[in-house]
Amino acid sequence: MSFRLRRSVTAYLMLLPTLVLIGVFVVYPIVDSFIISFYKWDMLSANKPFVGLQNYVYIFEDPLFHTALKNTVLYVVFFVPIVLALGLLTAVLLNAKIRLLPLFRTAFFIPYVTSLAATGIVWQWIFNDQFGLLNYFLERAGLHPQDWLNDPRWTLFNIITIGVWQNLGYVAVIFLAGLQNISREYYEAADVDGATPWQKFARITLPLLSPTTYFLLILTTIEAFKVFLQIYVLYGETAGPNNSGMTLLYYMFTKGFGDYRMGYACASAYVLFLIVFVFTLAQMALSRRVHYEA
Amino acid sequence: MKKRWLATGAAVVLSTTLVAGCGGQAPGNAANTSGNATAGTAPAGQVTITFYEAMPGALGDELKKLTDQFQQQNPNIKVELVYNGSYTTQKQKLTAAIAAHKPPTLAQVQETWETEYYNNGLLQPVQDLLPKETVDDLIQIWKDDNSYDGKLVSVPFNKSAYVLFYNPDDFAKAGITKPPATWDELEQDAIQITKATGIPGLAFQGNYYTFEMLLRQAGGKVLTDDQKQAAFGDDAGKKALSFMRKLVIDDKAATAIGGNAYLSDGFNTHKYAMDLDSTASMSFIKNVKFKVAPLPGDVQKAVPTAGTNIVLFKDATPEQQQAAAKYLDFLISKDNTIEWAKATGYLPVRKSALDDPAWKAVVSQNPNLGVAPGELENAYFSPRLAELYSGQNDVTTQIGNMLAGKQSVDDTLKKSVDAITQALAGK
Amino acid sequence: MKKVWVYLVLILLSLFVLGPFLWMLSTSVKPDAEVLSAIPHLFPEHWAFDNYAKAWASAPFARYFWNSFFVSALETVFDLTFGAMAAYAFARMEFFGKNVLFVALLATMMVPGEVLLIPNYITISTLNWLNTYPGLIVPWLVSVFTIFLMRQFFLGLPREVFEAAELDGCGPLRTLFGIIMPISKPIWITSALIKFVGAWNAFLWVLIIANSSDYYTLPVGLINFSSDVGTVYNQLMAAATFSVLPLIVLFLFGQRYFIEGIARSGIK
Repeated sequence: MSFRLRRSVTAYLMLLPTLVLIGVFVVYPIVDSFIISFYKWDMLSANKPFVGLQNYVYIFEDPLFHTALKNTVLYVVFFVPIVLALGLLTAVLLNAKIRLLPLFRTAFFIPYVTSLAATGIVWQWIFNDQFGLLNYFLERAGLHPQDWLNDPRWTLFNIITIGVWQNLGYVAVIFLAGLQNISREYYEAADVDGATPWQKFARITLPLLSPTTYFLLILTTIEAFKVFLQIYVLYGETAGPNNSGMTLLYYMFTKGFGDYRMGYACASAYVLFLIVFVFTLAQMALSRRVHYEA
Repeated sequence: MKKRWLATGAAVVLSTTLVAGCGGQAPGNAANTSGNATAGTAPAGQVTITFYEAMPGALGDELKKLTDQFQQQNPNIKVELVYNGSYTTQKQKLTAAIAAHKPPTLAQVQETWETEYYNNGLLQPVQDLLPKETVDDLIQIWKDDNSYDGKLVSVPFNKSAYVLFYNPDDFAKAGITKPPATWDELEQDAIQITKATGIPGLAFQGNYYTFEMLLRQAGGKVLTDDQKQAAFGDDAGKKALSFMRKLVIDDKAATAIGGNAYLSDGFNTHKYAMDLDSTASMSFIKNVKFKVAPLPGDVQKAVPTAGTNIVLFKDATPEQQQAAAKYLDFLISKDNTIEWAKATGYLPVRKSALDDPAWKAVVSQNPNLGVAPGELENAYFSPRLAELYSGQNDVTTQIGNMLAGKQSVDDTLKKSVDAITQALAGK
Repeated sequence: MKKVWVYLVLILLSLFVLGPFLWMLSTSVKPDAEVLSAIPHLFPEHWAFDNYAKAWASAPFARYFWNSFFVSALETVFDLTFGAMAAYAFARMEFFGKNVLFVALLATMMVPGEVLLIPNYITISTLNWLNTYPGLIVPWLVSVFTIFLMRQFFLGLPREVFEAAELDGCGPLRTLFGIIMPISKPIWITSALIKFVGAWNAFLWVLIIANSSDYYTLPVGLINFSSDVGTVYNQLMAAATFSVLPLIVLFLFGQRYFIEGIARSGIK
């Protein structure tokens, strides 16, 4: 056995548990649902006729799918920059040698670990038009109360708010790690040159943080495309007023679970996958411009 | 079916498998175990049946109590209760179990899924397994609701009907002496209460189901008799939508609740004086005094029903089927259906129960419980077609637009008819 | 003076992140009559601590706690072990198809987890693992994110560490678990925290695989308080509070490593 071959064999032995488990519990189901996307099937019966591309044609002609596509993209486009910006702000503040730092960090992490089962209901109360906290404070401040949950114009705002709330701590902690990687020397040198805090942030922090930013960008984008749970929880198993919270994953859910149309559901799952994949590739191409000399 | 927070991921279903080929063939995995792994270890003569149920909290405790009693009386039968959370998660778990060819023996189901299972030949009708006197004693609406092709397929269990909840204090303030019996009275009372108290007189779900109720009360119907086409693009449909719109927009006397809220919560916290809700929500109203009355009608009375039925899966062995039938007969025996209704607020399912002194004693103690059984002759169930699901969601969307003042009654009606037509054609 | 602004903004942001959580705590000690009051009160007029006792008694929560702990701990231990092995291969070994395999693994992260549910149920059922611990645990023993984090961390370790071990004649397993892992504490604590939180909060998989309270975990216990027509809010919030407490404690103690672990993985 050649040395190279032997190295390959050893490496694959190290990978064996991963490959077996991922193969059985991830790859197989993925391939399987890909096959289903070419069949008409209700999950219950043995009868499963092949329909070719019909399922894909159907969803592309379905206005609801267009709504889902539009809402998902809007969510990604707003959610990702907002959560990254707020996360970075939080991280910079937490990095400022403050008292009670562990407590603050834990506070920011709490939404990430708390089950939406309970906090979803709390959010319903916050947004409730009649006895909600938000309207209570708006009225106290002399502003007009809004019908947050029943007015479709607010849906995107609501689900972005919950998404940011849940992920802020996670993003901030990862940024914080990135900040602590930046050598103090850069800032000391800048101080010698008399740089302002803003100059230091723009010329040192941001560029040197770009690997972290890039990592978070890819990660949050992938997660954002899969937005579903907070809508489902907030709007009580509906996609919001006027389908304003209909997203790609929600569409899949409705087709598969509500209508028992597995073919449509799997086809839309693949469209979703493809979109995320292309987006990620585009972001990777962008990464060539990322600075790595941190 | 409002408001089920958890349940998440249910997108679940999205994928699946070569189900047709792969379940149930593993070595050492006897076919037809009915998802019942423990059956093999039981002593001879012992039968184990599994029951997928979705009864949370106090409802679950009551079901356990009845089941324990049954097991004491039938030591050779073991009933495994499998609690699956909400109806949504119950449906997901059932779908997975069926896809894997391991359904339970019994399961609580809603009508639309029951139809799917029945059409796929998954169910064992209970007509011939239950004593004839039990079948004959079922209240007609529940019997119809549980029958397919003239045969009793399943058994009604936790059934409820809609009633008018009202706050007698608000009635007194507005000088109203008896609950409304017609649309006109309902509207006038709502207006009067709104004037007298400042809170909306009435609340209802702004969704498809409320529309269907009003449509039927106005003399219309959702589908043609062959269930192939939408049949509500007529005057009755228009009347139903106009009534909703008038109450909310013109009179400003009613509020429409979205899918994110329970009617009972707003009633409980005195956000409105009347609502149209299921009897099952009574146990959640603790803060305010309340009474219930039969639903008002228009051209005719029409009372929506809700809750689940219990189905028996065909995969069960003959012994399991016999045991399951015995258990079902026990759950809906005259005494137990009364006990269940008393403890939970659901309705008795047998005619004889309603005449029984025990039930009459329950009603005299809590007159609110006696209202719904009295209106069951006007009760109906929604079309039992799963493919209507997305169509119904669309209708809800259209109604939301109308009640937000963004869309006329005529447009709403036309779009709703289109939505249902499309849903029927899509399958 | 600058510090004041830092604190001010931090406190504002904390209010945003903690608000819903505080409201959850507040509701958990309110009596029924105060749960949905028109004027929001953070502190109840009458404290109802017995919500906790009632919630605890409404389902076998002691058992659920044990199951949550057991399942999460086991998944975490295996995830770290297998993840470290895979990460080591990707970081330090040359083999055929390495890059393709790594990208393919990352691509699986883009597939919504819901797609896997029913096929995996059928697989578990075929293995006769329904209603067993293996059924709950085995599909989740490896996560790509752990592999990814560890690979990044290993890439950042000085080459000499590996070379010294290899010169001593250590095989890859000995090198990994004898030398690399002990100096990689931050990253495996980080990965462990993320994995543990995910396992602790897993809901749907547990619900469909488990058929009895012998195997239910805490999130399944939470659905006991809600029905089709109403929810017992205060008890739900109480149960949610005691369910999340262990995770908060875990994070309080683990956070130092958490940040260091991510920092040193370089995330490149």
